[in-house]
Formats: sequence, C-alpha cells, structure tokens
Amino acid sequence: MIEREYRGRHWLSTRRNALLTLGLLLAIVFAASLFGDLFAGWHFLGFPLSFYMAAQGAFILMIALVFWNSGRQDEIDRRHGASEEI
Amino acid sequence: MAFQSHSRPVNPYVGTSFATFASIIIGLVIILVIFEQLGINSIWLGHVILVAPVLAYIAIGFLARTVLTDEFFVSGRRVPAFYNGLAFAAASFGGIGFFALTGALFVIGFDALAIGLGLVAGLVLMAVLFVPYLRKYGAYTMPSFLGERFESPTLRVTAALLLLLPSLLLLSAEIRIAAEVVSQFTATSFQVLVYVCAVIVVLSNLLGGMRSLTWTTAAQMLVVLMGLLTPLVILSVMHTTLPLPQLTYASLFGDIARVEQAGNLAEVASLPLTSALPGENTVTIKKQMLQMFGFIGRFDFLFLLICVALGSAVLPSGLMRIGTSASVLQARRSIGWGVVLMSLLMMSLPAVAVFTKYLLFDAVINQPLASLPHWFNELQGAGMVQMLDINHNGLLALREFAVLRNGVSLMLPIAGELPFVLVGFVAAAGMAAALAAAGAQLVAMSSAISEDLVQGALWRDVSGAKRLLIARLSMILFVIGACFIAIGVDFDILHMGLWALSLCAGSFFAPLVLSIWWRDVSRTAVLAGMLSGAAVTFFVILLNWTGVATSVLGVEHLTAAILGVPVSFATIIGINYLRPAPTGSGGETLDEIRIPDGETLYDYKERVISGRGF
Repeated sequence: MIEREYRGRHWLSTRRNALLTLGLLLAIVFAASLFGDLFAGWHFLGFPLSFYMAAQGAFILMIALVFWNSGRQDEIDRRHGASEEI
Repeated sequence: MAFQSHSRPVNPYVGTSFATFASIIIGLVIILVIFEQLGINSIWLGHVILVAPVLAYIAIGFLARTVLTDEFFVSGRRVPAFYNGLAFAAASFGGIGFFALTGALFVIGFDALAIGLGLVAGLVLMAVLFVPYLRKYGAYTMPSFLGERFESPTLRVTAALLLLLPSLLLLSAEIRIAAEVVSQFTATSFQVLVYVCAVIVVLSNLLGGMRSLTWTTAAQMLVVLMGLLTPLVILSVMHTTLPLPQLTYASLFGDIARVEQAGNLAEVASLPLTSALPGENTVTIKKQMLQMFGFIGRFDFLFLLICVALGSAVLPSGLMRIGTSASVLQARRSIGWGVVLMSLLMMSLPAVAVFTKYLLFDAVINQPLASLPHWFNELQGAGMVQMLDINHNGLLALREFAVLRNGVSLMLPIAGELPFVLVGFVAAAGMAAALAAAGAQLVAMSSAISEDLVQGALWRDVSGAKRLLIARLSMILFVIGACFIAIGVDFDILHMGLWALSLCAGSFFAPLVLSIWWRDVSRTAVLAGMLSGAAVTFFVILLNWTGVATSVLGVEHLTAAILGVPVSFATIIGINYLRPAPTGSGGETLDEIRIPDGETLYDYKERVISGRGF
C-alpha cells in the first residue's frame, strides 16, 4: 500500500494520464465531426474516408484509446506501489 | 489493515452456461427455419422465436434470485469483466439504439452517426473520469457515493430524486418500443403488449436485483448480437459474396448513389435538430446517404455528439454497474469491454441501414407499381412503408416512397426475402435490447429509492430484508408508472432518449467530475451545481413540452445539456469561491478513492456498521 507522502506523485501521474486521454478523445471526436473535411476525397476500403472516420475509424481509435489508457494507468499504479497486485 | 480477498468466487460455469444458451438459441433458429421450409405455419414459428428467449430471460432472472443485499445491489462484486461489458453495452444500446438509431441512419445517413459516436465516447469518458474511483469507493448507487464523499444526506437524497426522471423516461421509451415492435410483428394489441413487456421486465429482475439484471442482460445482449448480425452476414454473403457486412456495405454505395441521382436528390441545407432527425411517422428520403453535415449542420453534429457523450458518461444504470466488478482493475477491463461491444454494435448499424436501403432501392424504386414484390405489399399493410404515386406515371419514384423510421431494422430481413423465422429473430433481438435497457433503468431507480431515499434519509440503518423489500416494491411501482407513460404519452422515443441523456448530463456530470478531481470543492457548491444544471436542462425541455419554444438561446431541447452542463460547472466553481469548503473536509475519503489498492471503502463501512468487525 502506497505511503501517504508518495500519493501526490501518483496522483500527478494519474491526472496527466487522464488529461492526455481526454485530449486524444477530443481529437478523435473533432476529427470525426468538425474536421471531417480534412479527409475529403480520400478513400479507405471502399468508403469515403470522412464517412469511414465517423462510421468506424473513430470507434476503433476509441477502443484502442480505452485500453491504452487502462494499460498506462496500470503501469503508473505499479510504479508507485499503489497497484492491487501483491 | 484488513485483509481483503481480491479473488471473489465467480461461478466457474458462467462461460459454459452462456455458450450453451447461445447454442440453444442458434439451434432453435435453425430448427425453426427448417420447419418453415417444410411448410409449418410460419406465424406460429414466429411466435416461438419471440417467446422462447423471453422465457429464458425470466428463468435466468429467477435462477439468480437472492436475499443478500450485496448480491441484490452489486451482484456480489464478482461479475467477470466480459459479462459486465455485455451488460454495459446492452443498457446503453437499448431498443432506442436498435430501432430508432438504425432508422435515423437509414433516413438521414451520415448525420445520425453523431449519436453512436456520442454513446461510445461517453463510455470512454466514464472509463477515464469515474470508473476506477467509483469502484474503489464501491457505493451501491451513485447518490450514495456523492452523499458519502461530502457526508451530506441532502446531497444523497437530491441526487436520487434527480435520477428518477431520466431513468423513467428511458424505461417508458424502452417498454414502448418493445411493445410496438412485437405488436407490429404479431398483430397483437399494443396496450396489452405494454403490460406484457412490463411484467417480463419485472419478473426478470424482481427476485435478484442487480444479480438478475447482470445475467439477464448478458443473455439478452448475446441474443441482440446474434439477431442483429445473422441476417446481416447472410445478406452480405448473398449480395457481396463476403461475410463481413461492416466492411462490405461500402460496395453498395455506388448503387444507392445511382438511385439517389435518378431521384434528383440534391445536397440539402441544415435544419434545426428537431426537424433534422426523422420522427416516428413515415418519412420520405430527402438526403443523400453520404452527404456529410446535410440536415444536421457541422456544429449541431458536434453538439449532439457532446450532449450524448456527457449523458452516456453519467447514466445512472452504468454508474451503478461499476460496483459489480471484482476490483478496480476488473472494473477498468469491464468498461473496456463495454466500449468494444458498443462499438461493434455502432459499426454494424450503418451496415443494416445501407443494406436495407440497397435492397429496397433495388427491388422497389423506379419499378412499376403493379409488379412490386409481395413482401413490399405486406410491409405496406403493416404500415411500415407508404406509397404515393404523385406523378401518376405508374412507377414508384424515390420521393413517392415513405418509410417508418422505427421499422427499418425489421425491414432488413424482409427486404432480403429471408425466412420469416429470421425476421422473428431480429424482432426478438430488438425486444431483447429494449428489455435489457428497461431492466437496467428499473434496477437503477429501485436501488436509488431503497439505498438513498429511504436508507439515506433515515438516521438508523435499515435492515437488509427491508431494503430488498423496498427495492422490489418500488420496481413494481415504477414499471406501472412507465406503462402509463408508454401508453398515454406520445413522445418520440428518440427524443425521450436524448432528453434523458441531457437531464443526466446536466444534473450529474459536473458534480461527479468535480467531486473526484477537485479536492477542495464544498458540498454546498456541488448541491447548487447539481440543482442548477438539472433546473436549466429541465427548463429547456419543459419549454418544448409546453409548446412555448423549441430552443433557448440557440440551444435546442434535444441538446439541452449544452446549456445545462456549463451552468452547473460555473455554479459549482462560483459558489465554491464564495463559500469555500472547510479545510480538510472530505480529503481522506478522496485520497483513498484515488488509490486502487486497498479495500473497497463501502464494504469496509458496511462491515463496521454491521458489527462484523474491523
């Protein structure tokens, strides 16, 4: 169990991880919505890329994001001794 | 330090049981299809495929019965991650996703993708912002967490009251769509079916609460996946020779675009959201499938996405499910699986819409009226499509063809001329989705009543048996109320879903985020923020209900949270500066919540209170 004096560092890393993930989520959402025109004219697997981003690409990226965030958080917990594993 | 066991005993036969269940369902479908080919009355077979899974849900609900409070409210904290993911996805998806969202994708194409994106983005938000911390606290309900974090019964009771309206809206909408679909499919009275569906939901969840709910929704989600994907894969193989419909539907764009051009579908300008989203009457197709930001403009798309995401992140039925995982790590895995499964569903819905469009266009549009396929005439008879021969040329042009939004999912197997049993399978899958979401809302509401309104408001602790009794009674009460709303009130189910999400976001997003991520927030500020966000969101929606105005300050009632969430954030931050929290308050709980290691705080508290010792 992590000591009280080290909790600050752990929380700082956790917070940075969360902010980074949220930033990436916002980027994915913007890429699929507001800036969809960036991909205009390109095609991917038969789809217009802008359509593909909103229909599938964003979802695949979000799945990757969730698991990446979870993995990074596990690493942070383990490094600071706050993990549940013995 | 108390010794905690991280390996709670999970039933080792869970995987086997569900694999058996899925196999039985598939086997049943195959046998019924064979019977249909042999000439047995297909109406009867359709009834069998609808009723058999329902009996299975009730049986599972009964088998998972319990009298222990920790089983009833958080399923004993031993649900494996994959099944929790199934339950998360089923509750978020619901009949609204299965029918209304598919229909919206059919009618307005690209524009409706905002809702799907929002639902999954909301689950990601939940995973990052709330899941580990709520699981570490381990409260049975979200109002319990808020009440304990700030040591404030007022906050607890207020949060419980505020979550009732959105959950009731969702419950009514789900029961309604389930009853509507079955009524269309079996030609039974809608009102009778509302009561039947209500009874099914109650029977599935009454005896076991969250435990019944978890396993019933896991089974229902399996039926949803099978029912949604089977006709899709079959049709994909039939028409594009490849079995991956989520990718092969791209090859149909060319044919659809050709018909759209022949029908002179020009690029459209954006409309207010209420008019842009198709309603529940039959609508004609006025927009090209692939045109981006047609009826729903660029910013409306983003706002709709954000609103749905914020609501989905704090949906009470989701937050309550967090406590059912075995540990913080398992909770993160569960929500990860929820994201995977929900994404799978959201990636399949456009395939359903596009395949249906392709099949309908191919068979019916620009064909002579006299020689339309017999299944099309049956669809007309059922009210799912409409024909108007405007130019009297004997051909069905694109603009003379109107379709019922909620019926699009069922139209896929019908237009594909698949056996009637498969149409029944899709109907059973849609019903499963609706029942799952309805059950989730019902359990959320009843847990809130029992844990927060009754237990939270009284000084003494209520005994376990009484809490169960109160929860069960309130389940029955709420489902009766939902029946009244489903029958008596004529709201569009998609609107009801969006209102519920907005109300949740406006009331709970800011309080939950700030109570976990800001140490020095005070209970008065959070209470004020919750009330102000809820009030503003509700006010915008109320203005629409009373017919006064559909938008306030440019914010429409369907995305009312765009106004509500910033208001609640501003209120919390503002009031916290005016009246800061007393130093050191709440800090200890917060410190413990932020570390995944250690015992679940709520369990520790329960043990201490019940005298079982430290």
